Amino acid sequence: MKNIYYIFWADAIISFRKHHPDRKNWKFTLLFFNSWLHALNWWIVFIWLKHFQILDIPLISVNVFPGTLLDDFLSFTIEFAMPFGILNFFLIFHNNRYDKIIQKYGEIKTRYALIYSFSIAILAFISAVLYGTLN
Amino acid sequence: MAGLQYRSHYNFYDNYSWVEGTVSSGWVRNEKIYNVDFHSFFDDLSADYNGDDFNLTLEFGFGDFWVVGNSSLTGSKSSFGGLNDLNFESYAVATIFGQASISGSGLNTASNIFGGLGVAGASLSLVNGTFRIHNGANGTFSPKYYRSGWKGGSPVRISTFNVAKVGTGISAGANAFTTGIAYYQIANGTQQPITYVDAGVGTLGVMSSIASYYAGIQIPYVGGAVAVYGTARLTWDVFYNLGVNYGPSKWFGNDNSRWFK
Repeated sequence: MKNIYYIFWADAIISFRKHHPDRKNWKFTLLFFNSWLHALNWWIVFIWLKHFQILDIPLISVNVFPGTLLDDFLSFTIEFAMPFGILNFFLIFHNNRYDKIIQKYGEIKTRYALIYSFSIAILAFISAVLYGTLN
Repeated sequence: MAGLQYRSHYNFYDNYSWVEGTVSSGWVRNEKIYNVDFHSFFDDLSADYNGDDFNLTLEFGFGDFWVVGNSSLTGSKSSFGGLNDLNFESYAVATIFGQASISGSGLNTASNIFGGLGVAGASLSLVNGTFRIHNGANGTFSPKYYRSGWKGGSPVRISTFNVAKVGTGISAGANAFTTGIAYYQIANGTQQPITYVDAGVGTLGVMSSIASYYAGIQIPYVGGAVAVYGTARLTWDVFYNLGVNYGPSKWFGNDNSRWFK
């Protein structure tokens, strides 16, 4: 069975390197961006679990900056993005594991990274509007 | 939540008539649950209060629109006589969302301002120039913009930075920032109308990045617009908060007449 997670990463790295061959910080860019997409994915699951009262996971609330936006951003980052950032780093970039992943999954032609990313971005926005309307 | 205020009222029956008044009022800062210290209030009240029913409400609102919070009063009524030993706590929770349009033009105006700034700043992402921060010779701060895109160097080793690359980094951060704040506020139940604007703008920015990263399609203006929007939102929030809590309104207390002296 093919691992969808590694297929996504292999396609993401190959596509990014193809379209931005001169970007030297591609590892950091992809780690940051894909971790953020995973955070949005996790957020979608989170709010619908909460809405349907299946599981209400407490939200972390940080209060260290003036105003609320930086605090909200930091709270979101800690609760939703940071776990995936750590996971992605160790599963993909640590010890250059992406080399083996690309060797194993790089031949797949379907553009999983593009499809997954667009789906998550759109689903997150639709969920935000729908959840805000229903609650 | 900038601009949100609270006020607390009390009333009780003193055997002759209802007595009512305001305990305290002010600006709500970051707290979703707002705690008010009523100890000094009860010290002042001790001469009148006789231990009968006491009602306390805490309200949140903007301008003329107020919502009564769910107040709870703990502490025994009999202990009101011995106020020195009173251990009293009260809190109220009020969630205001989807109602802000009632409170009026403040948020709508803010939305228009941010939208305007975003459009005006969109061309930033197309700038091909570079800039320096110091002159290289002795490290003196000396910012300068090079329209030609000069990459630096020279005998004095001037370092330059590419505007477009810096802008790309800011844009990526702005995408994360605007989506992060919007989705956190929605999950937390503290969203306002502008939260959905944040979500929409952030999503557009993320989709623009996806198109660039994974399909090689460059969508002009979006990255710069999101960066300017995010920066404007953050600047407004931080400095509004600093102004409310540490600005001129705090210098003179409630004596507004001193502003004009």
